[in-house]
Amino acid sequence: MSDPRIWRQLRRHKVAVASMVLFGVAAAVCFLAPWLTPYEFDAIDLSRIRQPPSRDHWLGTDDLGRDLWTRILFGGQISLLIGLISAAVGTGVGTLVGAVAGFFGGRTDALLMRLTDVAYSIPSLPLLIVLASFTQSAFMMIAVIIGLLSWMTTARVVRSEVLSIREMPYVEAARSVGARNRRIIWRHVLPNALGPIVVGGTLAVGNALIVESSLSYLGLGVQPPTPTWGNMLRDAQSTMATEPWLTIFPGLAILLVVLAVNFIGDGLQDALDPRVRSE
Amino acid sequence: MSVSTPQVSEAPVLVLEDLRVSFRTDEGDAEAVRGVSLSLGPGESLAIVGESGSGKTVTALSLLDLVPRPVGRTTWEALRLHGEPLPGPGDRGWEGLRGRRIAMVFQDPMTSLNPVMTVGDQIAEVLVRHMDLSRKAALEEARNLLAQVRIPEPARRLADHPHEFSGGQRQRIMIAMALAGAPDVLIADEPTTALDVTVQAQIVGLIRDLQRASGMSILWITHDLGLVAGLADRVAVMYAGRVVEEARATDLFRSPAHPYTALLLRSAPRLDGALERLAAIDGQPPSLLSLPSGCAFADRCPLAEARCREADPELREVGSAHLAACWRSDEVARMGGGR
Amino acid sequence: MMLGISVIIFGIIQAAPGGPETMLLQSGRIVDPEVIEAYRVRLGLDQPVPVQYVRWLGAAATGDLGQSFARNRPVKDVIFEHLPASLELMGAAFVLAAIMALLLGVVSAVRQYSWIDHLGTGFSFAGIAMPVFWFGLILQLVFAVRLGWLPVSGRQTVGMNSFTDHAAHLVLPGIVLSLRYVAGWSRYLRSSMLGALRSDFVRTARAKGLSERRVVWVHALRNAMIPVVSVMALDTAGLFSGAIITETVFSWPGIGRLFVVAMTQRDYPVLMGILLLGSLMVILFNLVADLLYGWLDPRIRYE
Repeated sequence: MSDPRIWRQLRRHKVAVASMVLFGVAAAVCFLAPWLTPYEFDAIDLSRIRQPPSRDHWLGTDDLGRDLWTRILFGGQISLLIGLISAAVGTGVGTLVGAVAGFFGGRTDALLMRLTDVAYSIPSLPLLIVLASFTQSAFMMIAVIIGLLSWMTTARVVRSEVLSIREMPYVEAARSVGARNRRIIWRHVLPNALGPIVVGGTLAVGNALIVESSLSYLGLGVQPPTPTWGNMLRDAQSTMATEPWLTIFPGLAILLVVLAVNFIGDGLQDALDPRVRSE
Repeated sequence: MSVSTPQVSEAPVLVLEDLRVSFRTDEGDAEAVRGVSLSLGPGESLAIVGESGSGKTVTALSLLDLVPRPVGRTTWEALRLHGEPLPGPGDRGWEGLRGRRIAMVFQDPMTSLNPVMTVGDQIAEVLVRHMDLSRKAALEEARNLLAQVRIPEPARRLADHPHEFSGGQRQRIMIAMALAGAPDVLIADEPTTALDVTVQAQIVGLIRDLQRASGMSILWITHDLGLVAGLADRVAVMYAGRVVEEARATDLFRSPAHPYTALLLRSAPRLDGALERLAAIDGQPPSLLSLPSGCAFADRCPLAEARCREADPELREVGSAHLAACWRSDEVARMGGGR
Repeated sequence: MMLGISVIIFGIIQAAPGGPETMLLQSGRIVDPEVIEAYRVRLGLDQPVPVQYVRWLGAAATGDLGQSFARNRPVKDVIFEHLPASLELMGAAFVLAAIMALLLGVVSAVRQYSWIDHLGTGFSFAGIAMPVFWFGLILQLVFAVRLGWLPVSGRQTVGMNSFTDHAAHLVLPGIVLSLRYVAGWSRYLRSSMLGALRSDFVRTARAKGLSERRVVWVHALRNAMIPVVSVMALDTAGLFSGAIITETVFSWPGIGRLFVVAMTQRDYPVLMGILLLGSLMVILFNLVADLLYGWLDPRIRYE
């Protein structure tokens, strides 16, 4: 990633650059929320319930008179954290499994890949629903579980990458001077497989955001009063016909952030993979 | 050379005047073909010879209006077949002509056939399209064509897919497809480059036999001057998008009038088997993105002088039916011995 | 393969807190420990876990998935009761997604960088970045609540049994469930088509004088479809996951909805049954993908 050519390539992908800015601004706004809004996310004001967007309440208020803009910002903190943590977990596990399988090969590889196949074959959303119901909806747990159910693709990609890198001359050279396996994986193999790992990790953030919102929508995610974009949508469903802004804005927040993350992933992929670049 | 020389008075089958093709790239427009004119007589074999990037394949593709759009832009002053003008670039009218009046055999038979269709279907669809045959009759005719190109057991092999044939056989199938429309002109774009040496000779022999039987004109595209000697009546040498010399094959080999041709001849393996050291031409062809204002070959030319870098010489008559684009073509014969 | 999956499913469900007794306790009707114990014995829950697993697996192999805690009926019957609605929805979504993706993918590739290509790109990025349920909610809001063109939810209007009523109920959920697949498949087909359109054999097809329609829709598409079809087969197994959300949004009485209800009731045999069925679908469609691949690509059969 320190290669300046990659940054230059990435900068040419204008949508990806715009997405990085958007994502940066969104994250900053969410985490600086206490200083950016006069309201508390759980401040109930029964005198101002169900107000449409106005100058006082930019995005309106919900049925308890809470300011929607404030709740989107605070909800964004939780949603983004879940996205980042679970992407980190999933990518970490996937990289570990893929690297070990690819590097050691043989029975280790066969066993781990079988495991990956099995994990791949269980429909993940239903499984997630079952697991999420055990967690008492603690947001850390939910983030970890989402991550633990999305490592398989990374594992496969990293494995095939490692398999091809393993045969490269510099790895042979490292081995011939007696470098230990762990050191070879860490210093030689992984840095070269970084491209697909970074791309996969980026896309995993977006995916985790979607999954979190789906779980919350089913009532199995983080529970109110802690807001997340998902559970805000769940609360909004019953009043959708009369207060549509409550449904529209949190969904737009998800859409924009995930869109930005995916465009960044797309840009990274173009920048890191010379084969895709040709067009 | 036993090849008959066509009468000058005979009306040409195909006439192309001032073809220009440029490709849009990130770095600017690349001028791949810069004003090429050709004519092809009945039953004649004309070879276009040049290195890769000389524009010979693009010229061939232009004759079927197959230059990819919109990256490539094609214009020509005139393009006539038997005196009738052919449709303009991008015209839908080309669909009915390709494969019917002008057909083409491509370089790589491994990738030029559709891998998921049977060879019978691939030949038959030409006949259905152009010869108004039913599918059944077309398959019957496809079997005859396979026999003509000497594929053993043609009836059985109609149902096979391309991957079940050898490279040479696949090129025979390509030829059968090209013959299906009984074209007036066949363009053969390096049809043997991808094949083994022994197979090359068979394919060339096959095409020549078929030409003799049908009387069609052939435009050979090749980088191999050695190959040209045996099969072409006339030769046009291309360099950086232009024809730099054009002559009867015998004249061209005996007395080249462009330094590039002379150097090419010197670097080609001698047909008489003499073990002369191969002379390579120094330097690289110029970038098509930024061509010099003078002669494009000047930087590599042992005869280059000041005027060569100032003005690009036009193609002019230097002998009987012999054209060359060089200020100093008279001196080529006395040119120093390479390296 | 299936064995590994069954162990995992069983293990996870075993680890679940609570069980039927929790449900009974929560219902507030039964508090007597002896009654609960008798209930556990009747369901075989007093046995050690490995014994339970072997029993469950043995029964599952013969198609017996056990008793539903909540409904007091065989799990198999409960699932089969909900299956037709789900298959109907998945079928509609699949057909819609396949047709849309085919048109969008081919046209975007043929007219690369045209407005329709850009529109397709934007649409597919949005389609993947959008939570399915939110898309469903917005469609409900616009077409059912505001415009009133289509029913909000359910599979049919109570008391009505006409085909049009049925079809009208299917429109919105079908569109919602197909969204992701249209987005994914059309992009995949587009890039596959772009490759095919640049290939030598397409140039040959053009040189033969074939009509542009035949060049694109026969020569290029037949090759471009090979990788896409196997992805489609694999994704089809995933329709099941998507159906959980879509069926919940539209109160569609299928397997997905059943799964969510069983979850809230902690009806583990039903959950296990559905998970097993879902996994079976994945494996089945993996096989279908392989078979289709061999069928579409003549080169595979001989290697």
